[in-house]
Amino acid sequence: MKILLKKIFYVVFLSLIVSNTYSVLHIEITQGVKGAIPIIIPSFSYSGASDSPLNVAKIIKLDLLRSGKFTPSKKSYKDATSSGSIDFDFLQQKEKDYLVKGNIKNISPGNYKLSFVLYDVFKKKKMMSYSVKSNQKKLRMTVHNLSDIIFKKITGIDGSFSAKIAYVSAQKTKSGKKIYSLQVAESDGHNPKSILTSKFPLMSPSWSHDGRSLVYVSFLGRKANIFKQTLATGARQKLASYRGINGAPELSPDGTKLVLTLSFKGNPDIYLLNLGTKKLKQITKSLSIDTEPVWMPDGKSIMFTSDRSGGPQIYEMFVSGGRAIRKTFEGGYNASPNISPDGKKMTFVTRSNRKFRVAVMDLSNDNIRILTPGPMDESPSFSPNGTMIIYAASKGYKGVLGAVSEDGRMRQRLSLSIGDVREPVWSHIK
Amino acid sequence: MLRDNWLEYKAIIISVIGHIIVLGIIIFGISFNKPPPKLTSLQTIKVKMVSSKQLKKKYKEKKTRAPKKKSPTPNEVQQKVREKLAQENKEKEEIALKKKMIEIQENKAKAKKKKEEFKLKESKEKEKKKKIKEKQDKKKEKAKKRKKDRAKRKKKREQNRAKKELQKKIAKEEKQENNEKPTRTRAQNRKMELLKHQYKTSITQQVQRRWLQPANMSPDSFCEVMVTQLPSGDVQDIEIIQCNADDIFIRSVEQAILKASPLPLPKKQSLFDPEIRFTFKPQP
Repeated sequence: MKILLKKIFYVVFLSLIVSNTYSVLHIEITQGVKGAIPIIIPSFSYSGASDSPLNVAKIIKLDLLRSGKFTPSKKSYKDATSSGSIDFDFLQQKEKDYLVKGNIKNISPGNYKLSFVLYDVFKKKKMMSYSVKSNQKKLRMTVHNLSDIIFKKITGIDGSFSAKIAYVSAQKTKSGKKIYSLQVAESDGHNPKSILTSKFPLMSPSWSHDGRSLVYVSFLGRKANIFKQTLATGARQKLASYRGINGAPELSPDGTKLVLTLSFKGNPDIYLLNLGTKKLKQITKSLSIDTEPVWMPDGKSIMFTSDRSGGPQIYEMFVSGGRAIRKTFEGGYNASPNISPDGKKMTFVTRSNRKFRVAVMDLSNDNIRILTPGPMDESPSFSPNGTMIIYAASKGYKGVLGAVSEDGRMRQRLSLSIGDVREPVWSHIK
Repeated sequence: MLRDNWLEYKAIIISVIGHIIVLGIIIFGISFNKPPPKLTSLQTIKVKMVSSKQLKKKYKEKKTRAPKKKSPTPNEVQQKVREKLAQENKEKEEIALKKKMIEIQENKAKAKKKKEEFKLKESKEKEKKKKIKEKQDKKKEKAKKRKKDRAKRKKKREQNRAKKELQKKIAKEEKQENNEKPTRTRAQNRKMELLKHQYKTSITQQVQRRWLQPANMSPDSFCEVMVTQLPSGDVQDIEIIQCNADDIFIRSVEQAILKASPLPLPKKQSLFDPEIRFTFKPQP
């Protein structure tokens, strides 16, 4: 009996152990990787009489690559993707997360229909299909739009690829004279269109928040003036022409006000100009140079550069007044602030190791990360979705457009730009 | 110490008892192996054998005597007389013959009877013998039985004693085990826990390495999913239990698990769980 009891005891004991192990395993995942998403975009198939007008897949791939959030595959794995049934297992082995299969169709001379299907490789599922009509003139922008749609679908973030950029370029004519122009181009620097050319320097372009107009400084008449120019019509309006410096204009998010640097009182200070009432309000009152004001997205405060501490540093201040709060402390040179659309990050130029480099600050904890190597990088500007920063880099004595992802993972030079490129700004909207 | 000594003494006592028992068995065995008194039965058989021989002899003697009885007739008288005599003799002879025949027949019958009797006797004797034998066998069997029973009883006693001793031992061991068991099970549990931890860690690492966190996830986003896996570790199904996150986050979670498939297997099969609950909760 006792032996039996003993056996029973052991059986119960073992079963208890077994039952213990059968309670569902729980695993907590708290860490992940912050990397680029692998995606395959084989060449879009073309159905039409002549050759495909564009390498659509290439444009999308470069867009996604530039964002730093994707690593588009160089190979297209035609065997696995071109046939009717997609070899998802193969693509999984190649560790590709997404597949875009597209087609461009010439529906009539100069008119096209672009369509694509986005697949989730690991779930072996179609995520979305999309088609849009376009024409020869808008075709490239349409492709950027496709990039935006894919980007949004996968990352949940609005794409910025179809948002335009503006910059100032200076070209030397044959006679040796410099010609300045205000250019508006696609986000990859393609198709630049000059909206203004001038023998006199052009400076500090800034977009209106609706993306329809630009404000800038023109030295027309050998005097600094601030203009607002509507892109669609080319009509321009003089907003400020005070004595001395008229610089660094930026329209408020609601478009009713303008912050700018004026020196008519002798010392460059920041002012607020009400565009409706034309009333001018002095915001900073210091003996130092206060300039390069930018709006915080809420329209209540501004960031600006001031040398009140001895060297240029970035400060924040309410437009209604009050004390300026210093935001940058590292290094002897921090200037040219630009705020991400969500107001969480600030990009600026910092001098580090005797080089001027683009940095980004997390405004929630003031952590700074340097994104570019320098040596003469300037005028950083956030993309409308805050994932990328465009800036002017120097190549020899010439300025070129550079783009860097806000995490610094991806950096590219948009070498297509012609001439000496300065002060690029990304439009606030697409 | 005292206890140990006692145990030693006890062992000695037990061994001595055991020896005594064994000796006892041997002695008992010998005494019982002594054959029962067979002599008596042999004598009876002999007696009977003798009697049968005597009977046969008697029978033979009778046979020889019978012709002697037929011979006392004839002498030389007158012819008539002779004839008469001869006739008479003949008649007498005939009668005698008849008588003889009758006698012979009677004798035969007697012999038969005797034979039968003898047979009967023999059979009776046989039966008797049988009975005796049976009795002897029975006795033997009984003796054997008794011996067996005794042996059995002894065995039983021994077994009982052994049992009791075993039980005592078991009781003791149980007592000791009861004292030792918690430590042993604790050690086992610790080992299992360690293996389970290793299993969990390997899965965690495999999934974490493949979880491409969404770029703009909110810090309080989390997702709880139930993953069904095959014995090979291949992910069969992902069921979302509850999520406080957008579609992008959920997809990243699903993809991480699918990319991690097949999930690593435990070192101990018993730790394998066909269902795993994952909580994805990014920490800054």
